[in-house]
Amino acid sequence: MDDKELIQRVASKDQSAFKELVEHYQNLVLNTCLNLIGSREGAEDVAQEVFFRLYRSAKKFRHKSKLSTWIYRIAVNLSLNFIRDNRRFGGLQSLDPFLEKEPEMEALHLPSNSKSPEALLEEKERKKLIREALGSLPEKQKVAFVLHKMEGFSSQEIAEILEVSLSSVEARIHRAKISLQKKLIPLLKKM
Amino acid sequence: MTEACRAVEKNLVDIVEGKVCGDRLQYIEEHLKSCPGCSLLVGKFRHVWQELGRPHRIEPSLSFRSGLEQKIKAYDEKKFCSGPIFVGAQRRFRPAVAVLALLAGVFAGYEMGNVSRAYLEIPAQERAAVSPEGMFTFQYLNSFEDFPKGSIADFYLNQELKERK
Repeated sequence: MDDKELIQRVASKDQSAFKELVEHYQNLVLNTCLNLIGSREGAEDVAQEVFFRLYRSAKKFRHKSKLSTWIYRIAVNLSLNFIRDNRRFGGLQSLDPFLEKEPEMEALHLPSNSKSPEALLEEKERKKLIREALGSLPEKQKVAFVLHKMEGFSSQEIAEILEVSLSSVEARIHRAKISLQKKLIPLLKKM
Repeated sequence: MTEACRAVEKNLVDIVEGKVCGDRLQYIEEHLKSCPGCSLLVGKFRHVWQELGRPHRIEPSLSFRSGLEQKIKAYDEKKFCSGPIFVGAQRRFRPAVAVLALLAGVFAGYEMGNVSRAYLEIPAQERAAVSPEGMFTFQYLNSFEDFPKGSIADFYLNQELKERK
């Protein structure tokens, strides 16, 4: 089933089509939200809201962009809303996904018993640095950088998701890299 | 820190992404061979930058799907109860109801003001003797002033006036 047919069936409240949509995009949406928000709980809440909005508003999709672009756009906007709301109410008490041990991570990286304690500690410190550095980025730069570097989107795709010009995206990514560089250098020197 | 060290720090991202080339690359490579500090920094930065490109990936928890299904179910049930016609009607009538409520408030305020005015028309000495209930009765009975002589309303009005006197 192609995306157009899928979304049309979701718009007519076809539950099997909606389930297929969720199956197909849940990991992508969840991990994008996770990279923006930095918390598993927050990412799941936002991802649920993304699919709920898709279910509610499937009729409004005009096919002017790809379905995946539309889904990512909703995910990014809701993630940013979540970050702003939590900032307003005193920050997020979250489990750091970069620090907690996830069974999935063992499959992606080398098993922990093959690394020395020093290497593990260094890895933990590095992840903490990344979280701190990403958190210090301005919102627009962070979104563009996360979508580019962590989600692997091209600048053109990011421009379509964010509905901004290509040059804006490239400028944001460039500034994000400069900001990260400036932030990370003193932290790395201390390590 | 030498100028070469500053150049390395300024171009760290380009160095680890392999975007430095030509003379510049040669200059930096020569410097890294002789500067352990910069060499260490580039190594650490490279690790961090690679880590950024391998983001954390998770699978949805068991409660993710069930939570979503509950949301959808609650939405469908609510939508069934308040169908599109009802929702549309609500949207249209809400401003009308708000205007009616406003007018009712203005009218009530006017009536309450009328009662106050009637109370002020009573001479000051008598005012103290008039209870709130009595004041309302007076206001009510005053509205019978134009009733024909001998009518029940006229009778009760005269009774009230006699009692006040």
